Amino acid sequence: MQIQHHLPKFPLSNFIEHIVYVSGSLPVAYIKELPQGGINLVIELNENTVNTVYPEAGNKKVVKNAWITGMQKQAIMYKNNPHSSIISIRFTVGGFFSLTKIPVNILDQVGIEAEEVFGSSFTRLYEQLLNAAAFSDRVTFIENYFLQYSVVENMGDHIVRFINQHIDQPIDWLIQKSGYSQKHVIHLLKTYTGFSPKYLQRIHRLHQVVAEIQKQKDYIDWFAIIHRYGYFDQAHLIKDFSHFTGLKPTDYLKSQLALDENKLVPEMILQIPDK
Amino acid sequence: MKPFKINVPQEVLNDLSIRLKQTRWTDEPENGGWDYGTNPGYLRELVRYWQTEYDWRTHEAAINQFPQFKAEIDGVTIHFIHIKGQGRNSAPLILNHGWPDSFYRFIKIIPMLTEPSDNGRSYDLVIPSIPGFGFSQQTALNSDKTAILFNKLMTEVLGYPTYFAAGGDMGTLIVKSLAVQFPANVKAIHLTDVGYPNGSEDWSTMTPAEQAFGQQVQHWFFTEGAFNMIQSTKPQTLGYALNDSPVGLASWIIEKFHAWSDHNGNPGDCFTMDELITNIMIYWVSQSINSTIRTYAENARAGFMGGLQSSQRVSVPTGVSLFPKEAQFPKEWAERMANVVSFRIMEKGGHFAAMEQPEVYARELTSYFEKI
Repeated sequence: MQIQHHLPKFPLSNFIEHIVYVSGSLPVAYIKELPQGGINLVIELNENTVNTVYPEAGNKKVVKNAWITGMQKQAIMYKNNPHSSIISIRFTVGGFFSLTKIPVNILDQVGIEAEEVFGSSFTRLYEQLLNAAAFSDRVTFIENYFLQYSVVENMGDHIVRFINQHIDQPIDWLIQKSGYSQKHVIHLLKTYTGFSPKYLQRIHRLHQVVAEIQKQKDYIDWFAIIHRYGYFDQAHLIKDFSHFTGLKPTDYLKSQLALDENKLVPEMILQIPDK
Repeated sequence: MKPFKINVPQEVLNDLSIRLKQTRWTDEPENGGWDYGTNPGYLRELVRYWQTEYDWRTHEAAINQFPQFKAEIDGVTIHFIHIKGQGRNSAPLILNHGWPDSFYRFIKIIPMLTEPSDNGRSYDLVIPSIPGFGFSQQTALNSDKTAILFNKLMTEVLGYPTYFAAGGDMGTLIVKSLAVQFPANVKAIHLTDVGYPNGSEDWSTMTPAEQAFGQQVQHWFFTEGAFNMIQSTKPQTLGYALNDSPVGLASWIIEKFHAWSDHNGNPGDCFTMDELITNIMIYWVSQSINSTIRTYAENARAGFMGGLQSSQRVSVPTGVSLFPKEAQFPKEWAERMANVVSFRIMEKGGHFAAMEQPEVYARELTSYFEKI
């Protein structure tokens, strides 16, 4: 498996967290992508390859060329495709709306064709990407495409970024610092991210636990993790973790131990354990 | 809000036992006593007791006798004891611990405050773990943010529209912040220390006694205050060692219990070994030492960026009991800090008065709050 990472520079870095290229394949049937709070645009560079997406709830969906993951309330499962070269563009929390002004509430489903959302301008970008050979050229096309949008930020953009940067702090304090009413802040976050502050906190907490598991795979003190991140007890940790990932934390740990490649894509679960 | 009981997995206790056995002891200055920091002989005896005689399960069960809960407030999970008073007339009272102690500071006074006095008065006690401490979520917050959460705990989670608040050390900052931010909810407060000069005061307005106190505090910072400076600036550097070594953790904590309590050279005059170790265990099993010391940095940063509400003068009625091993501030200083309606000098006791002199401390609280 080949993986290349690109981190955009300012001002695009305000909206796009990273651009990742993945090609080649693994001997696994399905892979999962964890929710990050931000939207993901996935581009399949192998024109004839069809990808299958399985949302946590609802029916599977077949997608081609390029698609948007949606708000990603939970992990998304993909059928692993042996003939696949993918570019994944991960927007920052709130970054997709901030940049494109496309309302996130129309993206509430998993796997919406990018052309449906961006229109014919995206078709041209897709052709450019197919014809380019090097990852760096593709990155340039993608960055130029998104730099066509206005990157001037308004107060809402700043507040959403501030809240996301301090999402581990008490919600009341975040609201007080924003200078807006609670109702307005919740509305703002819903508009930008599709999520409530509370839900963003839960996603953040999930990633803290995920990071903790990834850091020390040989011995994990679950009791300490429970208190560190404010879970009521082990059952609550398991329930919350399963809500987002479909896996128990111990099963997630197994998946991390199964394949070395997991280190390269921390937001993915490459080897989903048998239930 | 859900009932909670502490139940430490056996693996955590087994791991601790191995670590204690494998301690790599340092060299020791001859006849150093407590002059260079934690007394080597005392620490070795404590560790011997910890390994061979101390039983966590006994203390875990003793703590679990009291009704404990966890509640998520504004996305931060707070652990607390909530025990209703048995009197005809029971007033809500939140007790705020500090560092390096824990909610365990107040365990001994629970029966003294929940059992009714002769006139039928008692207290509904709420004893939270500060965020970052013990079994609360390990989010290090400054005292103003903690006060916002604790006010919600009292008013929204537990439904007490008004209440009393008491505490010491970091608990003082939280209690003062509660009183400044929520004077409509906080009827009166009680403190054992009232805050210290931090250099922002106008010394020309201070009385000679206050100035002398300011100098003492400055002297204290250079001879005793290094722990505070590192915890306020680079806590993470220290955290790895303290979270990894139970003996290191004990040494860091015990030295404060020695320095700040009222005894003749042996902390055993004030606390039993079991009490000291149980308090350390609360830090060890929850792996919370790092987030507890980080609260100092959070307070320092908030102090630099516009100041804390807890450093504002308190206008709600304030009772002060000054124990002899506490930094001896004059009454004028207390009055500068708060609306002091009662100022009492105690005969014996120190910084952890609720543990050292539980009867005296409980009587101070009840006699003061009954007058309000």
